[in-house]
Amino acid sequence: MGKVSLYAPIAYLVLLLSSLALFSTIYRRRKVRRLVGLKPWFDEHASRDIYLSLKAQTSPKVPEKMLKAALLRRATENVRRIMSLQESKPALAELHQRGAVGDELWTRFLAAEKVMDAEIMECAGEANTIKPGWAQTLFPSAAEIVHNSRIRERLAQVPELQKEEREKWQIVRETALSELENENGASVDTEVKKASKKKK
Amino acid sequence: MDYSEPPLPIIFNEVTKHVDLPQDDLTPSRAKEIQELNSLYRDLVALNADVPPPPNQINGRLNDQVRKLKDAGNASYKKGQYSDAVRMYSLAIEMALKRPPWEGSGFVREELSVLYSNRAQAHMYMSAWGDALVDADTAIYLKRNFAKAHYRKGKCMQHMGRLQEAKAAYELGLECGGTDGSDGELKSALAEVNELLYS
Repeated sequence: MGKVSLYAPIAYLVLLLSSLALFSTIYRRRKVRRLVGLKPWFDEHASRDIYLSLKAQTSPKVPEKMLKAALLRRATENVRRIMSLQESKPALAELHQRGAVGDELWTRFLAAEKVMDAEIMECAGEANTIKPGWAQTLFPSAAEIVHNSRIRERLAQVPELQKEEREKWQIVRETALSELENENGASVDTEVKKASKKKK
Repeated sequence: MDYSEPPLPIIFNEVTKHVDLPQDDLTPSRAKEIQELNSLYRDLVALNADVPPPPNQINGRLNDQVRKLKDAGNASYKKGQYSDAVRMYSLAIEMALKRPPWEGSGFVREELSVLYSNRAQAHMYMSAWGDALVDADTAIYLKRNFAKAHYRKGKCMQHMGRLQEAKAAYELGLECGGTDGSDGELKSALAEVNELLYS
C-alpha cells in the first residue's frame, strides 16, 4: 500500500502535465496553421521585393543611390499601407463588434497590423544601416511622396477635364444660339437670360 | 517574398542608368514600381546630398524659376495678352511639378493653387469658360479655403448659365473666412445670381 501512495501523485502529475503540454502544442500548431492559411491583407509588396533583390545583387553592384531610392520607395509603400490600415480600422472594428464581418477578416486585419509594425521596424533598421539617423527623416519624406503623388494624379487629369468642359459648353452655346435664331424679335439680353434659366 | 525565396533578377543598366526586370518576372505592380523607382533615382542623383533633406526644406532655385515665370505671366496679363499669360502660367506649373516628390506637399499645394487660379483668370478674359472652370476647381482642390478661386469658379458657372452651381460656389467662397479680401466681390456676385435665379 505504501508503494502505491508514493507513485500515485507522481503518475497523476506526469499525466496531467503531459496532457496539458500535448493540448497546448496541438492548439498552438492549429492556430499557426490557421494563421498561415489566411489570405494576406495586402497584395505583394513589390517595392520591398525590389529593394531586397537590389541589395542582394553583387555583380554588377547597384549604385548606392539606387539602393537608397529603392528603400525610399519601400518606405513610401509602407506609409501608404499604414494610412490605409488606420483609415479602415474604426469602421472595421465597429462592424466586427456588431457581427457584420466575420472573425477571419478581423484576424487578417490584426495580422496585417503586426506585419506592418515589423516591416516598419525593418525598414528603419535598413535606413540607419545605410546612413545613421536617416530613419528619422525617411518616413516623413515617404509621407510627402504619398501626398505629392496624389496631387500629381489629380493635376494630370486637368487637360482631359478641360476638354470635357469645353465640349459641354460648346453644345450648350450652340443650342442656345439656334434657339435665339428661331425666336426673332425680342431683345438679345432677355433671351440670354431665358436660355440660361432653361439650362439649370 | 521571404528572404528564403530567390531574389528577383533585377538588372542595373550601366548605360541608361535604369533598373530593369525581365518580362517573365514582371507583374503589373512590379512594372509600375520599377518605373517609379527609376524616376525617384533620377531625382536622387540630381540632389546635392546623399539622402533627401527633411520635407520642410524646399529647393530655392526652383522657387525662383517658378516665380519668374509667374511674374512673366502676370506682366502679360496686365498688358492684356491673355494667351501669353496662359502660356507662362502653364510653364510655371510645369516647372513647379519638377520638384522632387519628397518636398513638403503643403508648400507644393500653396504654390500651385496660385498658378491655377491665375490661369483661370486669364482664361476667363478669353471667354474660355470651360478651361477656366477646371483651373479654378483645381486651385480649390489644392487649397480648399481659397476664396478667390471659389469666386472665379462661380463666375465661370454663371457665364455658362449654370446658376445654381454658381450660387453654391459663391456661398462656399464666403465660408472661407474672407482671408484674401474677396468677400465683397463674392457678396455682390451672390446677390446678382440670386437676382437672376429668383426674380
